[in-house]
Amino acid sequence: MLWSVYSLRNLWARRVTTLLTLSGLGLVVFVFVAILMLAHGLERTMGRTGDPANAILLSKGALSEIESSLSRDQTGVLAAQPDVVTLEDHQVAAVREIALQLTLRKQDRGSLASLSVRGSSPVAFAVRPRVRIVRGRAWQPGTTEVIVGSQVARQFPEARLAETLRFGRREWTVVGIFEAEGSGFDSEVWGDVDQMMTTFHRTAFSSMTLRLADTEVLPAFKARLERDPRFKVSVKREPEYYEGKAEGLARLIRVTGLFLTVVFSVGAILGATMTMSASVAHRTTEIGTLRTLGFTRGHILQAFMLESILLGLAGGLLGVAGAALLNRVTISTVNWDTGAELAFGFHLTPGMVGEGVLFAVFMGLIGGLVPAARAARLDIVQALGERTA
Amino acid sequence: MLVRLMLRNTVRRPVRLALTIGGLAMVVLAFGLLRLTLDEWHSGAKAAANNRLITVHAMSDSLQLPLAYRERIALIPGVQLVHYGNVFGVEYRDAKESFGAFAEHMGTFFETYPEILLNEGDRLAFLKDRGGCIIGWKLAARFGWKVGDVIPLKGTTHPGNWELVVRGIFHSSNPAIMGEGELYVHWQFANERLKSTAPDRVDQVGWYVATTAPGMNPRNVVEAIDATFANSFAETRTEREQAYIAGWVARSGALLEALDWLSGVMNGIAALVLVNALAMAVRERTREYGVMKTLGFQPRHLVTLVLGESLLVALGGAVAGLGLLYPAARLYAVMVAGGKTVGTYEITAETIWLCLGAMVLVGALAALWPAVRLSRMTTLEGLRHRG
Repeated sequence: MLWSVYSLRNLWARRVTTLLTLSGLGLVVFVFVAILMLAHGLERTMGRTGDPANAILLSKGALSEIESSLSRDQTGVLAAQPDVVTLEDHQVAAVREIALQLTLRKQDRGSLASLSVRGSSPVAFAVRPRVRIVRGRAWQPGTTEVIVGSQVARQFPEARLAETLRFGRREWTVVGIFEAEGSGFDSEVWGDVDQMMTTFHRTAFSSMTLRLADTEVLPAFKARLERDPRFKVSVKREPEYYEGKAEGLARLIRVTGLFLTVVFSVGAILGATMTMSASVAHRTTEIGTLRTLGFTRGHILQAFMLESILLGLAGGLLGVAGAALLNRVTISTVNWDTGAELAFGFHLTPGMVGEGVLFAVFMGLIGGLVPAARAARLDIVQALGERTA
Repeated sequence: MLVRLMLRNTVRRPVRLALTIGGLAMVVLAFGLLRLTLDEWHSGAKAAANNRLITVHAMSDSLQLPLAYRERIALIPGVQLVHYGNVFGVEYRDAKESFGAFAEHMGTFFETYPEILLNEGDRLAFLKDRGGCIIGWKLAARFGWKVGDVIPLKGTTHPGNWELVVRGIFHSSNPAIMGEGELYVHWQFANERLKSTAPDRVDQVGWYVATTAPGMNPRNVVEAIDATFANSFAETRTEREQAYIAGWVARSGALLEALDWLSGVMNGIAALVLVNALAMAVRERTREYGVMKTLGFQPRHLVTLVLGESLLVALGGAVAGLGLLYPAARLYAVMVAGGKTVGTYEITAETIWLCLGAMVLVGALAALWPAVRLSRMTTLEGLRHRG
């Protein structure tokens, strides 16, 4: 107890230096946590896209919906498989869709952006129960009405409720806004599949998503369909398919984060060492006095280690607090794996708070080690004899 | 005299000096890495050729244009040559080992892209063999492929299995615009196979590249191409190569802004490290400065001393950081690529000047506060100071 008061007071007595070191440590922790938050936010967005009980079918060899094409006949047979859920109105829980990317000009900065557009049918809401309409209503089948994800509505002024989107030489009225729990669907526009196929001169679907009886049957289902030479399809679990669609972005964030963290932490440790060395040098006489009074080398070591750990702790809390301000901030950028705009946010978890603070304490600990050891090894007579270092 | 004092002061505490320079070097390293990443993104647009125009489907880059547009573009005044191509999506062994591959019209390819350096024998062999391919040397190095090897590939955009004979390995005179990690096949060959595998995609083109005649204003040609296809069922969007690439870079605008912003934060950290070290030094030497004042040194001399020391340390940090930047950038490039083709991440003179300039600024700013304090201090205060 006594020691912690002593260490705290020492930090206070040299508050300018303490503050500068704190800010340095805090900034490092801020960058560290912010990047963790962004990487997690992206993973969360992609991992939540779709439902684990769903299977997405693409044509064999196709890596994405854009490259895939399934004919009408093929999807008819595929939807009639056992294991696929039948809905209350005796409809099969299978949705045939086409996926497209449209080039739009963002109004705020005039840059081009690609918007993901999905031609779908109302059964999509039964297949993906987590998607809900929050404003307006669903599109009427057979019309050029569309609904937009909440992120699209936010990023594109022309995609707000009751506005009209122009693409494919037709006009599409936005009649609803949907939310999909912060998943990738929030960055999409949904409308009637037949209208879109006509508009884009398509005769084949891009994909078919099926709701299976439960999550366990997928491996067997996948094996059966992929082995059947009639179908030529590949089957993937829906969230796994989407998760694989942002690898490039995820890697850039993770590697950049790792590099910055490693480089910065070395810098911060050097900074902490510098501050603690100065603190030791400054108090040489004081250390001598303490030793004369009967405090052991161990005590001195403890006091200085405690001081630097406190420094780390405070810096960590500062950094985490700063990063917490970023929570829920979303950024919208192009996803290189699909070429379409994707919105994802910074997302703070309790684990990251712990990691950030621990990281800072660790930096303080390493930084304080050498100066504290030097302080403990000081010779009493020499320490007392020295005026100021 | 002043210079000698400055130097002596700087090296007076070697441990602290080493720590400060080390800390600054780390910041410069991080700053340099971010700048390199940003440069890498913008390099394509900077290096683009001025006489190439890219025409894609107005609605989406992923939609295709009819082959029949070729003749109509060729008739537009100012157009010298019309080239076209498609993405040739393939996968080698598994999805993780994919790479960029394109099906290009070989009759115009080499003329449109003079950046490609391929020896004449290989070029002729490739032009003769419709089932052959050429690959960039980086791709060849990645999988150990040699001329004459047969590469088995699985098509993603072009269904089926493909066995392509490597006819040549090329270098690029300008890797920022023409990469060295891609594979090229004959468009005609790829198109032929589509007739049986995906008949609805036959005779379609992902993009046209029109080369403008010298002396023509590319802007007029751009407008003329788009006007030709206005109100047709597939309208076009034509841009100069540079604008086209810049457009794609701008789509990642939010991410680039975040990086830009982060590189600003770094300089803040650098300033903190330096201010801390300087503040400590000045505080310790307050009495000395008092003594110097009694000896007749003017405040401006003291300010020069502090400023000089600050700049020296900052430059030391910059030099050390730049020294580390080269190996770090290599490692970073390899890790970001994640087993795919590694980017260039070339350290240009611009990067070096930017790092040095930023550190000089940081050095000057860091000296500001201690210098102001010193010049305000009276001789008596200085002499009274107990360190």
